[in-house]
Amino acid sequence: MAVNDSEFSEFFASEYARLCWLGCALTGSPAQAEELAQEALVRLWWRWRLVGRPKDPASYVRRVLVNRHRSLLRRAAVEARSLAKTGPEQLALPAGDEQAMVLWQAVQALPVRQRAVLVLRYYEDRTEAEVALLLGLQVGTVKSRAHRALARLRDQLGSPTLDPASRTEEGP
Amino acid sequence: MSLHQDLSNLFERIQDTPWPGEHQAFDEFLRRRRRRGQVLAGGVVLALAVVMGAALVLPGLWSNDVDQVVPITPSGTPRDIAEQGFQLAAPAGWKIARKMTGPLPAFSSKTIDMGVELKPQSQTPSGATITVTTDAHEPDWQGASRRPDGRPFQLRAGSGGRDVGQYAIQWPGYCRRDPTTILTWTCDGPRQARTLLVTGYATGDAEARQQVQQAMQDIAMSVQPITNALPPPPIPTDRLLQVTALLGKGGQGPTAWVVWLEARGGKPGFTVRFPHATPEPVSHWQELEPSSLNAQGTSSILQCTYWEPDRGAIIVGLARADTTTIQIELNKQPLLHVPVFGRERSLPVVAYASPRLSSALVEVNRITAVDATGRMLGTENRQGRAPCNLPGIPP
Repeated sequence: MAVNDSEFSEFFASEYARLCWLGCALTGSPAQAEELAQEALVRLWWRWRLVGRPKDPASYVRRVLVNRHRSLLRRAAVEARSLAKTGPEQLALPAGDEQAMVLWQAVQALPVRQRAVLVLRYYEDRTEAEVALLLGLQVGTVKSRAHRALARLRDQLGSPTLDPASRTEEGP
Repeated sequence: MSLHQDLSNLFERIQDTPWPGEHQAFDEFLRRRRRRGQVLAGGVVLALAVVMGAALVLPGLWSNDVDQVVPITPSGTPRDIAEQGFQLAAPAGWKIARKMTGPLPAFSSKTIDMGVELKPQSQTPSGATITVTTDAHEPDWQGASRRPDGRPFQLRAGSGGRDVGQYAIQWPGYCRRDPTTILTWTCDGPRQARTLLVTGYATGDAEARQQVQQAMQDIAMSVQPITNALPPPPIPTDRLLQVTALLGKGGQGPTAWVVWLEARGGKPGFTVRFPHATPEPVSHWQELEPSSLNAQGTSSILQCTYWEPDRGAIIVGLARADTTTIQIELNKQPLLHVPVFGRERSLPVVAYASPRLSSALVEVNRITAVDATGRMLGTENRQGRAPCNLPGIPP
């Protein structure tokens, strides 16, 4: 099967940043995010080359990325738990206002598995059933993790330690 | 707004945010694709050796798609040569065939990008090549033509043979490699002379040479400055003198802080106030010297929170408007990354504040302003700790 190079290049250009952000939201690490995005795109290209163009390449590559993240988690559960406790070494912050940055940091501070559920629900806009399928979980587990993640976020945002979010527009 | 809505808004915003280093990603992808092709091919060879059916499947994997994975950027896709400060896309009918690399001066073990080589997408014009490189000298620009962005350029006619000619464009540098880390840049030095050279070669007839010269012209007019070729933004002192503006407030309890721009005695500056310090609020005003801010990137106040029982320290300051992150280097501590705030106010400066540092004894080595592309805009050398024991400060 031939891969249409210009079509793939355009696909790459339009999807790469989004995949990196998805990876970053899942892992909290820009380096791991690039690794996941590159790996997923390489796998997509070879699938395209050997089997043919997937019907929906964007969904396909996301599925690969999430599965890859999942298998990494499975294989390195101890490390992942440790990462979740200590937090990522270096955060990649999205452009935005301070409030968004605080929320982004709070999301990054969630335990890995809770973060994965939230990211797929809100970044990928997936239903709970789809998230369950992607992560290989029961729907009930997805619901409880989402609930715990949201509760934890509310907790964190309610009592910030460094509180740029509380800035107001008043004069000095 | 609900947390659900906040999350949706946050992730929606992320969707459209560029990813740093995106332009180099396709080359990395090509390298990885090649490696995976070799792994796949190796796996197939092994499997087929077992089943003795190699001839049917192997050609498919070994076809030219496993390829000559010299990075080739698709036509029209911009390529960044960060080291030389330019970004260009191949003109129609041309492709960027390879990056030209060379040793970093004085560090011959490290290779850096020196430029690019372009080739026609088809085999015509015959033997045609265009290189885009830089040179650390500048010709006399007297009488030179100007690009739409005002940069002077000259066209030198070809000397015959393969030489089609050369465009020389003024391309000064504003940053240099940090001599200690080599991997990072500092942008606080003077403007350095540099010329961008677009050089054409062809072996064909006059028509072929004409085609190469047209492509050279397209490149010379469209190549864009990036990274070290972008000058630091001017800091309008007038604006700093006219404006009294809140930049932000944060922290909590006794270490809550407020920072605002404020001119005093005809001099620009900023004030940091800790309104809940005891027994009375603490304020500091610091003069802001625009050229110094441009050179050092930041102007900071290191405050000992001596009014707390377990006194700590907070670093608050202003930075150039193109700063997105502040890196604070503490002695024997991990590097601290702090986002700036106040960008939405479109002022000539932005502000930042560190989290409360748990010990006032921590030493601050350097404070560095970094822009969105990761360039170090300037470094403030501090080499000290918050003054907790100065006269007048309660013990």
